[in-house]
This record gives sequence, structure tokens and C-alpha cells, in this order.
Amino acid sequence: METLATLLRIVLPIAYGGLAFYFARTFFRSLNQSERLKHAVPAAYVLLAIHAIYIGAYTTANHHDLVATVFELFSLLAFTLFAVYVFAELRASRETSGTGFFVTAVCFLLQVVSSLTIGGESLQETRSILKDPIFNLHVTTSVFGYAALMLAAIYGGLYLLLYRAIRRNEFGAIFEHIPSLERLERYGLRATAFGFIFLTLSIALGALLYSRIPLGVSTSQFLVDPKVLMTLLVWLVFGVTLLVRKVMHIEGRRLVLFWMSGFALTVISMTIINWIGTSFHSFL
Amino acid sequence: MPENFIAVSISHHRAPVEVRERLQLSEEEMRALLGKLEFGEALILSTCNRTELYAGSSEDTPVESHALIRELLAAKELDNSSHPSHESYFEILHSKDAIRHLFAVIAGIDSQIIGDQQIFAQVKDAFRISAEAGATGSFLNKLSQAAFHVAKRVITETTLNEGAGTISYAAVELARKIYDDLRSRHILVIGAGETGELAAKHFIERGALRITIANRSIEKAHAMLDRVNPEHIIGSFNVIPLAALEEVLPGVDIIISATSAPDYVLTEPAMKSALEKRESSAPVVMIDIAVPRDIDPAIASLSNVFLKDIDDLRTIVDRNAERRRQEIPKAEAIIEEEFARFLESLSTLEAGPTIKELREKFEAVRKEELDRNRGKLDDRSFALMDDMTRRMMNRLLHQPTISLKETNGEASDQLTRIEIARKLFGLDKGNE
Repeated sequence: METLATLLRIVLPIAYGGLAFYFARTFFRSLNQSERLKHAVPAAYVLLAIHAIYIGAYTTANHHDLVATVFELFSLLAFTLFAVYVFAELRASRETSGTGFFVTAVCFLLQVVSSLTIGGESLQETRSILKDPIFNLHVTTSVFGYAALMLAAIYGGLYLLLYRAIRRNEFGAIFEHIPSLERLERYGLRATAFGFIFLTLSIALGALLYSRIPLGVSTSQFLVDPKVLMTLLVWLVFGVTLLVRKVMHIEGRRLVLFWMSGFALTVISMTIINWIGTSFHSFL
Repeated sequence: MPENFIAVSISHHRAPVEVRERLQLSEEEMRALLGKLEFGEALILSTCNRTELYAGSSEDTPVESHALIRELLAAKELDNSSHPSHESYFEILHSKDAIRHLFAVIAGIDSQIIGDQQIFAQVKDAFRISAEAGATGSFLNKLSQAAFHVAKRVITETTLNEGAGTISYAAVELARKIYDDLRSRHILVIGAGETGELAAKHFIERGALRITIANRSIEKAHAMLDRVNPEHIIGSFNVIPLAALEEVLPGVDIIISATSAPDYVLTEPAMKSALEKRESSAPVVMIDIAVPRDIDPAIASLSNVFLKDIDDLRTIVDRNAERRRQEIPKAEAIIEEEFARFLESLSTLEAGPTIKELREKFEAVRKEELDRNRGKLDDRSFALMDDMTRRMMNRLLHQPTISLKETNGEASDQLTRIEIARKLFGLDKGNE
């Protein structure tokens, strides 16, 4: 199993890179829709299967889920992001495949970082909490939440790119191949809603976990933990985004800028927190 | 049949619009002409850019191109003496060139706007009318299938039909890059001229259900609405006078302006005020197709507004035209492949019946001669003669049969051999 996990750790970035290259090639070249996606959908399924096998092999070989370190999480995040994209967009709506390159490129970067650094960190498999199903569910829901928000950010980024291209009369590949502003906004909002639901679940499970495990820390310590704070902040920003859309009827570029600033906040705070500490939470 | 197939064509390549419009045939005129023609099979294609008559005969008498042209001119009551110049605008294409030409037409590479998306449907209609008029036979039926296959392959295997080819279509495509679901969007068309009408038609084709037409003359606006929505699609379609423009502006998502007004129809203060009253913060798409412009260019600086003029749309159209031109070799390769396949299918289909007919003809002659000599021979001699002549006939027909079945080399060679055999042995005459 370990050999298989090691082998797939090398194969995965190459596979994501290859698919990103394929999408890029079809994105910038003048190909019709059927030709453009002839191999993309089957290739995406194969890649998802390889990644699932990798997760299984890694979990078996290391006796814990792919959630122990940040770099393990990166691989899980790439898998989740790609799975959400394949099932939510690529499979359902072939004409919006123009986004494929951008999503696959992000997955490629996440997997490269994960493959290069995995095992380099001190593994925390000895911690009993890693065996707890609620903890695993807590991490998994949070990964799904962040993956959905990452997808929303990709759609938001593409929205701004297309917006600028139309304003400047740049009728090139961006104008031709990526979906309309209306559709990007719709997909972005849908991803934000999914992300918000998963983060809500993750926060609730985290609170449950905290109450169940006697860690010998006070509630105030729980609330001032950087990761808890950051997650609450991100949850709040995206919750407000949905609220603003629903109640104040704000839409279009203003709404996209709102959720993009929420995502920027997430990235910045996540980088700082992971730079400061290496453990899950300050109280763990 | 391919050798006796001919096309006479008057199109945008050689004839100016005033000549083309004189020869454009309505469906009724096409049916009437098809009923009059005395050729084996015939097809008429008539659009704003071309009028073409294809005809073929399996008889020995070739179809005469000038006779076809005369029939066409007569159908429009244009005789050659009063319009002697008309004949010079015609292009005459024989046999294989006529087939190739039809394939190029249906593929959209012979159109004024390369990759024209309407021509496929127009050729389909032409075949339907011809079939309903009883003017199609086995050859045109096979040809129609081959032609449709060419068009479908060009659509799926090339990007020849992708992207907008005209200004009005580019306007719609640009608007759809912002709002792709047009059903819920309120579209305002200012001006009841030809360009505005085309844009409105394209919007309805793309699913728009809320269109307001604003025009100085309300009668013209009503007439335009009837033309763009002849099937009376259920939705919100209405007309307003130009003076009431500012009342509807706050609720509009897409504006297309194409009037001949000398001054701005939409000014910056009016638009600014409309945006302030607007309930939604979704962007407003404004497309000005008029020359001189209808929409004050200062509006472009307003937040949440996309304002595009005819030059911006021209950039899209030119870019698409260039890309379509680059796709022509791919379409031509498809045409050549399908042309060879068509001839091959025609020849393999025709070789079998020809061989059968040839054998039947020889057998008939043999039996006739045997019967004539029946009384002169005893039973044994007759049986001997019957056997001998049968073997002789088989040996004589062996090489021609192989030659007719031969599919090596060009499919057209085989077709030629079949036609020669039919002529040499009078097979078509025998059928009469």
C-alpha cells in the first residue's frame, strides 16, 4: 500500500498538470465544443478515480485519514475541489467547460505542494483524536466548505476577468470560452451556499467535539483560537454575502467583489495562522 | 445520372442584389416551376443571396443549361429579350461540379457570410418542396442524404458556424455574454428599422420573452412586432412611443438602439436618472448599432453599464470572419470525402442492377434465338445448344461483370464504366 501511495503521489500532480494542459490547449485554440471535450470528461473521471485510490492507499498505509497535516489537507482539498467541479459543472453543462483550465490549474498547484511536502512534517497520527469519527467528519466538512469557497473564488475571478474583457473590447479567448457573467455569478453563489452549509456543519461539529473531549481548556481559550476565529470570520463573510444577495438584492460585480474580498481574507488569514502554528488548534 | 446532372446558379458572387431580388422565388413560384419542368429530377434553391436550379435526367438527352435558365426567367416573367443581360450572371455547373457546388452551399462556405447558419435549413426546405412537388427521384434522394451529412459533419467537426457573422447577431451574442438566460430579461429595442428588427428576431430565437419596441411611429413599431413575433409567442411584447422611453428605462436590462435620428436618443443625464431608479444592481447592456450614434458615449463611464457601438461589434464580426475563413480547408476536406463516398455509394448501388439487367438482356436474346430455332432441332440437339449458348453467354459476360464490380481507383471511374455499359447495351432504352 505504501508503494502504491508513493507511486500515486508522483502520478497525481502529473495527471492534474496534463489535464490542465489539455484544457488550456482547447481553451486557447479554435476548436468546436464536441472536439473540445472529447477526452476531457472521461479523463476527469479517471483522474478522480486515481485520486480516490491514492486517498485510500495513503489512509491504509499511514493509519489515518488525509487530514493530519496542512499538506495532506491540500491533497484532499484538490480532490474535493475537482470532484465538485466535475459533478457540478463539467458533467452537467458541457458548454461551460471554459472554466476547466482554471479549476484544474488550482488543483494541480495544490497537489504539487502536497506531493512535494507530504511526509516532511511531523506526523500526528499518534494523537488519538485522529481516530475520532466526529473529528474526521469535522475536518472533512471543513475541507468541503473551503473547496466550495475556493470554487466560488475561481468563478468570481473569472467573472472579473470577463467583465474587464468586455469593458475593454478584448474579444479573445476569455470572451469566447468562459460562461456568461450571469452564469458565473450563479455558479459562484451556488458554490458559496454549499461552502457556507459545510462550514456551518464543520463549526457545529467542532463545538460538539470540544464539549465531548476533556481537553482541560476553558471556553475563552476555544474562542480565541486562531483557526476557530478565522473559520468564524470566513463563515460570517460568506453568510453576509448570501444575505446581501437575498435581502438587499445586490448582484453583479458588486456582489462578486464582496465574496472575492471574503476569499482574500480567508487566504491571508490562513497563511498567517499556518505560518504561526503547526497544530490543528491551539488547544489540541 | 451524375453525368446528366446540371446546376444553373445566380448568386452574390456574380450578380448584384437588384438582379438577385428579381430572380428570388417564393415557395409557390418554386412549386409552379417544378411542376412545369420536364426533366427527370429537379431542385430549386432560392434565398436572398442565390437562386439555383439543379436538374438531372437519366435519359440520353442531356439537360440543356440554357433551357433551365429560360425556365427560371420565365417563372419570374423575365424574358431574355427584355433582360438580355440576366443570362450573363448565371454560373453553369455540370455533373460532378454541380454536386460539389451543392455540398459547398449547404456547408456554408459559398455563402456571403461564411458559415451562414441558415443555409442548411434553406437547402433542406428546397429538397422538401422538390419532393412534395414530385420532382425528386432516387438520385436526388441519395444526393439530399449526402448533402445533409456534409452539413452535419461541418457543424460538428469545424468551428465554421460558431460566433456571430453579422452586426445584429453580434449584438445579441454580446448581450448573451452578460445575460445568457434571456427569458427573464427586459429588452428594449429602439427603432423599427431593419437592423433593430433583425436583432429583435435573434433575441426571440434565443429565448427572449420580454421585448419593448420604442419608435417615433407607433404604427411602424406594431408592424415590426408582428413581423418579429409572427407566431405570437406568449410573453411580454409591447410597443411604446419614443417619448415614453424614460419611463421604461429603469426596468430594462438590455437596450439595442438602431434609429436614423440625427441626435442622441439616450442622453447621459436620462440614463443616470434611470440607473438611480433601478431596483436591481445587475448590469445594463446598451448596444448602439446606429450611425450616427443614438446613445451618448458619456454613458459608458457610468457604473454598471456596458455600452458598445457598431465599431465594437465590427471587431467581433471581423474576428469571427477571419476564424471562419481559416476553417474553410477543413470544410473542403469534408466535402471531398463525402463527395467520393457519395459517388462510391451511387456506383455500388448501380453496379448490381446494371449487371442484373445486362444478364437479363443477354438471356432474353439467347432464349429468343433458341425459340426461333426450336423446330429445326431435335430434343438432344436443342439441349446441347441451350447448354452451349448459356456457357458462351456466361463467358462473354464474365469480364464485363468483373469490370463493373471493380471498385479499385476512383469511384467516378466505376460510375463512368456503368454508364458506358448501359449506353452500349441500351439498358435504359430497354427499361422504357
